[in-house]
Amino acid sequence: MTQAKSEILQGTLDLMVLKTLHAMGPLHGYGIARRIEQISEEVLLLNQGTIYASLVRLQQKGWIKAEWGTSENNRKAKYYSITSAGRRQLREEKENWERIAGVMARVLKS
Amino acid sequence: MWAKLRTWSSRLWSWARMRRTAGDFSEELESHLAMLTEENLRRGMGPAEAHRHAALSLGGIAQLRESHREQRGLPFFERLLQDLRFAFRLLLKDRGYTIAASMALALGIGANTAVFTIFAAVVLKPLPVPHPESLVTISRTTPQRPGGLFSFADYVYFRDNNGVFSSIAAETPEHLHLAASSAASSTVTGAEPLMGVFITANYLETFGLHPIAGHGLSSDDDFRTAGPYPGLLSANYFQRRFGSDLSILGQTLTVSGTPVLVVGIAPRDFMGTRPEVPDIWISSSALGDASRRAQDRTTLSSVLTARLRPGVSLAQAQAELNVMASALRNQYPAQERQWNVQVAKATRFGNYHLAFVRLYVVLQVLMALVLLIACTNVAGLFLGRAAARQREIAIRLSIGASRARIVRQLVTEGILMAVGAGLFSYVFAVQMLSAIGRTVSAKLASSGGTMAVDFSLDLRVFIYVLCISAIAGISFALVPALQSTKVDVSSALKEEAAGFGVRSKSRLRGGMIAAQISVCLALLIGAGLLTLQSVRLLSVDPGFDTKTVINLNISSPQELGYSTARTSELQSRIEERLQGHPGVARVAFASSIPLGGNITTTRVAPAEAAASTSVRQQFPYVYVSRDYFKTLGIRLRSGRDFTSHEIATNAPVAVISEGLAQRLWPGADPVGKRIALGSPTEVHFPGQRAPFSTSTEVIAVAADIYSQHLVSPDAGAVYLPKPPADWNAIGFVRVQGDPNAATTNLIREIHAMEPNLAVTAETLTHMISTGEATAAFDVASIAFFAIGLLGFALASIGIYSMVAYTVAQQTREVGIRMALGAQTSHLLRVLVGESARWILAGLASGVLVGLGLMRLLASQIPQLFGTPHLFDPCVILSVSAITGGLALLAAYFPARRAARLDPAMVLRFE
Repeated sequence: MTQAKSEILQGTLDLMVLKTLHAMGPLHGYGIARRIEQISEEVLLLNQGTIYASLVRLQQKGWIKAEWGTSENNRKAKYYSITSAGRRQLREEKENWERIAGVMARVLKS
Repeated sequence: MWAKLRTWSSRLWSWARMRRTAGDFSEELESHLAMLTEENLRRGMGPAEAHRHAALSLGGIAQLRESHREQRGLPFFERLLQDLRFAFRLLLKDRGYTIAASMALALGIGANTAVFTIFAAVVLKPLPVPHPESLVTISRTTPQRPGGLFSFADYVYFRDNNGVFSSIAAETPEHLHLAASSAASSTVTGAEPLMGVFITANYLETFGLHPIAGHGLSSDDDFRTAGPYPGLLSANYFQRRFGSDLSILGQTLTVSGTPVLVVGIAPRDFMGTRPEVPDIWISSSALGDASRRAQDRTTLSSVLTARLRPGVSLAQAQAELNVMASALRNQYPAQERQWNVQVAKATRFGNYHLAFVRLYVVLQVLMALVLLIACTNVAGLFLGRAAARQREIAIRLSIGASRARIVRQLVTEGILMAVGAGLFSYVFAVQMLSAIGRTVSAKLASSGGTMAVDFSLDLRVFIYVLCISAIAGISFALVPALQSTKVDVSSALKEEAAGFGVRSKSRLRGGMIAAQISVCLALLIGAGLLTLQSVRLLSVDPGFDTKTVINLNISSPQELGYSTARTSELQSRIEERLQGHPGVARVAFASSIPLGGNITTTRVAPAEAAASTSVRQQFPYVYVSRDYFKTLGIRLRSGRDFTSHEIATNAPVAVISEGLAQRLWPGADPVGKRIALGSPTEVHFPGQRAPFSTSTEVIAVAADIYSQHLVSPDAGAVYLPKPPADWNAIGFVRVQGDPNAATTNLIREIHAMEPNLAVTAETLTHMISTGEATAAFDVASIAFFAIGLLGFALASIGIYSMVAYTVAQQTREVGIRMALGAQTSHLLRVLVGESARWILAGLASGVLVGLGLMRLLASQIPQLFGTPHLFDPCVILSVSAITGGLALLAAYFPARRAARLDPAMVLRFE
């Protein structure tokens, strides 16, 4: 049961990370986590460590890339940015998600 | 698909730089943590509080790192590497054990590989000719002999009347020799052996091949009535003997006294359906006038190979030949009635093909047994080690390792060892194969012909080896692994070893001891029986004197271009000189050597019944000079020796053997009776005299001798007076004193008279022990002996180590018993007694398996083992006793060591 739940969460987390990087440009892990928390208006309190599993996955699929850089506080940090393959993927996933969400909404309303 | 590939390549890449990736990730986490802490500080928390909160919302660093590692790298592969490293360290730690076990496996696997390689090279390879599928071999079958040869008349009939073959060729193999003075090389002295095949002109064409130099035979060549006869050299012989010098084309060689014109060179390694590459193919017109041979229905010497017409199936060809064979049987009822024809796909090695397959079956069974010993052996060792590691395994199980994980670890050890052994066995197999190859080539070199079987390992065989070793590795590690992980963790941790009382484990070990002894004893019984057989053969009294009689082979001076008159003058001079030579007691000459491998046969019947008997049996005949019986020490049972007058006038008289006398006139005295010999149409190679007489008087009966093989005496033999004009090619000299010194003196004596004659001399004992009659048996018994010894060596290692481990397991109990006052001798009895039970069980089943094995052998190779005394109880008993004794010894030493331990030491060790 919990397994199935986390599966779904995992997929959505990847999508959220992609969208965040698409919207915000290069960000480090902490920045991504913070941003998602803010957007979700703190409803989604995620364990920030899980973001890294998602980052590795996306990297391995070639949808994002990483580079070492310096943060605003002059701290060494790894910056992630979306690739063109990632943008394509985001578009597909977004459409897919909207379609499902629409269907879900209709089903639940009726 | 693409995404997956991308993921994996990325994983592989990160794995390759794992250390760096891991460092990277730690740094990233640290910076994340620092940023979180800063934020918390900004929110107004105290430094400690800020840090704690940061750590909480990030999650456990160690877990993150671990999961990152799993996600990044190749966890399965990594664990495998870990297992491999661990296994490697363990194997290195027990070096002696590792070497023993992997050697055992390597020998087992190597021997299997070698046998399979030969099988693949001989049986699995198709004939190296175009369209091998439409090439067939035609055999004459009788109830006694499935792969028989045809007469030339039968061949002509098939050739001229069939509608199913586009071409049909006949060949007649013959051991020949090349005259010393032939072609160029003056360095070689003496006649050289030459493997020749007489062929019809369409022979190469039937196989679909063409000469690589010069030209082939033309259809006119089949009808030549005078020499030189055209012939083709094999490319192998052409290279070996003439250094690939094409000037040999067009030259005439003297082959066994017949001039042969070299017209072409056959393709390299072409061997037709023969087991070796012949040196020369000669037009069959050299065998005699074609029209006369077309009438010969009695000389069965032709091997037939044919090419099916396009679209004709094997079954259609068989049906047509059946009809033709029955027509022949009706037309010539005087011939044997029960023969038939069989058409089969042509195979490499022709008639030897089936024998090879049978030999392979036997050898493969033996090799499988050896591998079984090796595997049981190694399984025993693994079991022992697993038992010794009980405590380690129990600890790992108790701290949460899964059973699968531990089994995998143990199996990895097994596979590692097996693959290592596989590689080692590869080397072993290559060595073994090249040794076999060398032996076969050397054997062929003495009789002519070239070996063309490729004995090098190929990829298929290597895969076969790897499969065997992997299967062996998994199987021998799995059993002990499963068993040793089935432990009750708490009890294993509490008290380490299994005591005398734990039956199930000791039963498995005991069973392994019994199995090893059983298989090894079976092999040794086989080896013992075969060795006895071979010794028995060599010590058989062949009925003539072999120790003090020297056999001389003298090439014909006609090959040097001597006239008949000069030849016969030389002949009488040689005879005189040999007679007068000091130390020579008697001299005789004959047309063939008993047990020399070259037998000539003819049809023999009582003269009065010759016309009426439809079936006349073939018996060996030999032309002999006057003192032949006395020189060789063959006893005359009744009658008298040939007189000089009879020899000189070529009188129609004969001496027959006891066996023949029994067959022709059972119970009657044959002296004074008359026999009929041969037939007018029988043909032989030129220079070979064939008897033909309707009435020859029997003047004496000679004792039976063994002239064909050592398994049984001749069924019958005919001795005829040697015509004085025939060249004395084969001489027998009975000497006094050292026969070995005499051989060189005799050669010198003949060379003093005529330096260009090729002469060889050896004692009959030497000739027989190296001759064809015993060679096959020798090879077989040596092979079995080697396999038996190999098996025994493996089994001894196995028994010793298994008992040693068993005893080591019981050290604690031994210590307690000794502390309680048990006697050393009593302990020894208990320890050895337990092994002895299993050893006895192994011996009993070993005898049964051994007898079964020999029965299998006897059924597969009847000609080698068709002797009544095969199952000698003495051999079986003594081999069992020796094996049992050595096994007990192997059990005794480790037991004694245990019983001598200081009990205080043993118990303190706990």
